[in-house]
Amino acid sequence: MEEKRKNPASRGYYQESWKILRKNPVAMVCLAFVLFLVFIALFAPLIAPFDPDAIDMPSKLKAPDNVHLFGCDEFGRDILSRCIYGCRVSLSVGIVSQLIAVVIGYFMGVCAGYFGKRVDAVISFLIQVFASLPDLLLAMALMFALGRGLGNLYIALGVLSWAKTARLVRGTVLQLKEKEYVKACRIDGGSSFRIIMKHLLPNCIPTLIITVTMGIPSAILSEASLSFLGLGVRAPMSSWGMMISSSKTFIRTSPFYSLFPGFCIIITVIAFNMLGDGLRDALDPKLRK
Amino acid sequence: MSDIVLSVEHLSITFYKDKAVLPTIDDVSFTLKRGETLGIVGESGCGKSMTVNGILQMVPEPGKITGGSVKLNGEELVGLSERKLAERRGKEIALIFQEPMTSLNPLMRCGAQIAETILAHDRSVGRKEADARALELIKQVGIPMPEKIFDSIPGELSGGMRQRIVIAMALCNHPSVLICDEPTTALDVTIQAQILRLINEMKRSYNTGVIFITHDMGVIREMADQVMVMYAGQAVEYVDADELFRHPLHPYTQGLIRCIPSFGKDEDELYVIQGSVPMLDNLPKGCLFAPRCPYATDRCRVERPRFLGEKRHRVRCFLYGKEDGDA
Amino acid sequence: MRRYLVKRILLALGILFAISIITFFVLNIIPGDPVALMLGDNVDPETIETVRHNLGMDKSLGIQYVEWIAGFLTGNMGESYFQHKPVLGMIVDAFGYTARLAVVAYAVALVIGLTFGILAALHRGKALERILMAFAVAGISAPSFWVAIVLQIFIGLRFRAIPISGLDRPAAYLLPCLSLGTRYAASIARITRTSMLEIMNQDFIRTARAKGLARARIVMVHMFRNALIPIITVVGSDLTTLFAGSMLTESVFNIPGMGKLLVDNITKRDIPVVQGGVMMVALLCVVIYLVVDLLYAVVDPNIRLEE
Repeated sequence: MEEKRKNPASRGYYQESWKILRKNPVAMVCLAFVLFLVFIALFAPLIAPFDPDAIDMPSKLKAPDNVHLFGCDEFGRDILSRCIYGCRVSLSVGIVSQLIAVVIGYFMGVCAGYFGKRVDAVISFLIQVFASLPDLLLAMALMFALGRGLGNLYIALGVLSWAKTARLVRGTVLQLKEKEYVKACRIDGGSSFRIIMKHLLPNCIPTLIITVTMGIPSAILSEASLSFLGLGVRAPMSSWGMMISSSKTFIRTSPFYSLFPGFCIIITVIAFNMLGDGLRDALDPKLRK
Repeated sequence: MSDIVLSVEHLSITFYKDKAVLPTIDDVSFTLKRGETLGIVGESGCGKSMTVNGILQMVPEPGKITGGSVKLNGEELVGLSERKLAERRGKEIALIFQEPMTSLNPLMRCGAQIAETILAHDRSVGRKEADARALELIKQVGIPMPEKIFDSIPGELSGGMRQRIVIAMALCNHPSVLICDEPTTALDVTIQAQILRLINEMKRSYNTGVIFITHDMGVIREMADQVMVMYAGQAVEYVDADELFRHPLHPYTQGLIRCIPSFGKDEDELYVIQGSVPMLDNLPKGCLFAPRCPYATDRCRVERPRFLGEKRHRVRCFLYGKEDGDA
Repeated sequence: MRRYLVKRILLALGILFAISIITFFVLNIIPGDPVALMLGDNVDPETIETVRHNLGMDKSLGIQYVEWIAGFLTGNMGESYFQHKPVLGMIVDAFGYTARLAVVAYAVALVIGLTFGILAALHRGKALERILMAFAVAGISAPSFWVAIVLQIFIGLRFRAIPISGLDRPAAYLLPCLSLGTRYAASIARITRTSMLEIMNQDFIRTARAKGLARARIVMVHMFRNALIPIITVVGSDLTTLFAGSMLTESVFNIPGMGKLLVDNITKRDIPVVQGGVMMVALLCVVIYLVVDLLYAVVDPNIRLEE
């Protein structure tokens, strides 16, 4: 049953959404876990038991024990500490790239929806181009062109994933444009920029929150894939994908090495995915389709 | 065999939602004879459609039939296996829905949807024969260019045309009971009249018993022989149609009749029953209609009236207690 | 119908054109001179100039693009800088592996995903639904290359009959297809369930039941066919990531497919190979999108009506 929801621009909207979200135990657990991950990422140096880059050849590929809970890699570096620092890379890539994507996506979408006609035709075409690109492949090409590194990961993944946001925002704006107050504001000669920022943005915020949350897990997976292929961060920085990549050669002797970073990826991605589902239900059930 | 094709006795349906127990249909009884039309009337939310679900044994989760019996041609349906029920549905008892726009499969050709119903119930019929019979039915319900419509998908047809297809589909196996759940509500007035006439014609030619559900008293007057008025899951009045319009007893029935525009004394001022149907999780303690009833007394607010009166005219209201002998 | 077709084909051509421009310029703004890299350190600038001239790299980017796209359209994608073989031949060889892997993996994923999705929808609210959907969430959240390695560890290394590299025997398909297919099986199961649940509440399903149709017929003919449209959308977007996704699988299992070709040559900076490869994959994706668009029209006659 569809409930009648308040306008996202009105005051009670987010309290109401929060109430709905709070009743969703899965989403709340995921939210708590995401906050926990953010905490780990922020305070990695305090939490990590060892220096993630400290090479200690004698404990090379040591199996997990009381000292090294996750064991050691081929240079004797503590895998747990590297996973903790890897959390930094994954979360920052996920969050920053999606913020970039959402800013591009919002402006593209809002311009398409608001100005219509030729602007809409061009942007809609671009949206289709970017939606039909095999994105990992293009991310590889971009990383290849820009060179490895954290900053370039932000840019490459951000630039490649704006299309979905733009499509949703365009739809929302097309609906809003017909609303009386936006029309009135246009007739009163309100500048386009003012209308876009003041009237359209608040209404698009729920969509933006949802696309960011849903985009983060796929950005994290893309980062892991790129790092796995050697096109992600630069060594010795630790990334979950890169750790799995270097563990490949040791699966016969040290299977634990491959497992732990993988678990990190999978639970992080699950948490963001389920939180995204919950947020979508709480903020805008219409987006379900 | 008797003329009674459907008899519902003490039917009760309850919904179990988040530990709450919601009595959705409470002790509803009626009988339907061959060739007769029983109108069930009430506002939306009164349990009319749920009664239909109960008859067809299609109560959606988390609802359950918690009591009573539904006898179709003398056979008890409550508790029958899903497979046996499927054999009865569409053959002995058929259904026409409110929304012709959505009650047909949007991807299937109209002819195939009718033929499928024939094939499902008669193994001796081949594909070709079923198609031929479907085409014949499409002609019968008054559709122009039947061959073309046979091969059309519902999206290509108007609402009235679709409802004719639905009627053809419902009647293709000559059911003894036809349930029409607000069949004309979504249609234009002119189309409405045509569809009502078609249903009456079909009833006569197949001698079908019809249950006609609507919130429109005007339509009831045109269609029904017997009428059951429902309110909040209960039958509040049950009588033959002429009597109902001549001497409506229950205050709710009186209100509904006064709501018909042409019946009001002052045409400019439409009568409105104050308030709305109570929510199932918040039913009044006494008579369910008491909060909206202009005649409600203290007794009405604490005690539930029973459904009383002689066979011909039954009513659920303290105004007509046995002692008063009115009914 | 014909207008619909023409419109879609024109759009697809436009998209391809745009993609060709994007890939060409992205790959040609790479810092560092591939020629210098290719010839090694001890070469005088003159030789570099000659080679650059021979490769046509001294011309402006615009002209290079026109020459390249003209070549692409006539099937001449240039020569590999390092292996001195025609790019087209290398791509054709590699594509065989990728295509076999992708087709088998996706076919398996479709069967599993549809079955799980339908089962979950029919067992709404019961334990089976929860278990299946938990698997599905894990499936879309696990990186395929990690699944591949886990499968190698727990299956490949235990059973000698199942190889952990190459694609030369039927048994060798097992692990790569499982690891590549998991994600797609999961996403198909999710969309199938959602879409079936939505259809289940539609009036015409009630009609179908009231008509007394057999349950199997209601599920397969009335529900499933109507649920197909969102499923096809997901299949379409899945298929375009499938070829990119198989890069990872190929790299884990050492399969000489498109993915491996691209990854190897990206690190070597063999631009003609990468350019040709990316363009081929893009072409394939756009063709898939086109086919999906046409499939909509086949499955849903209402789309034809709108045109």
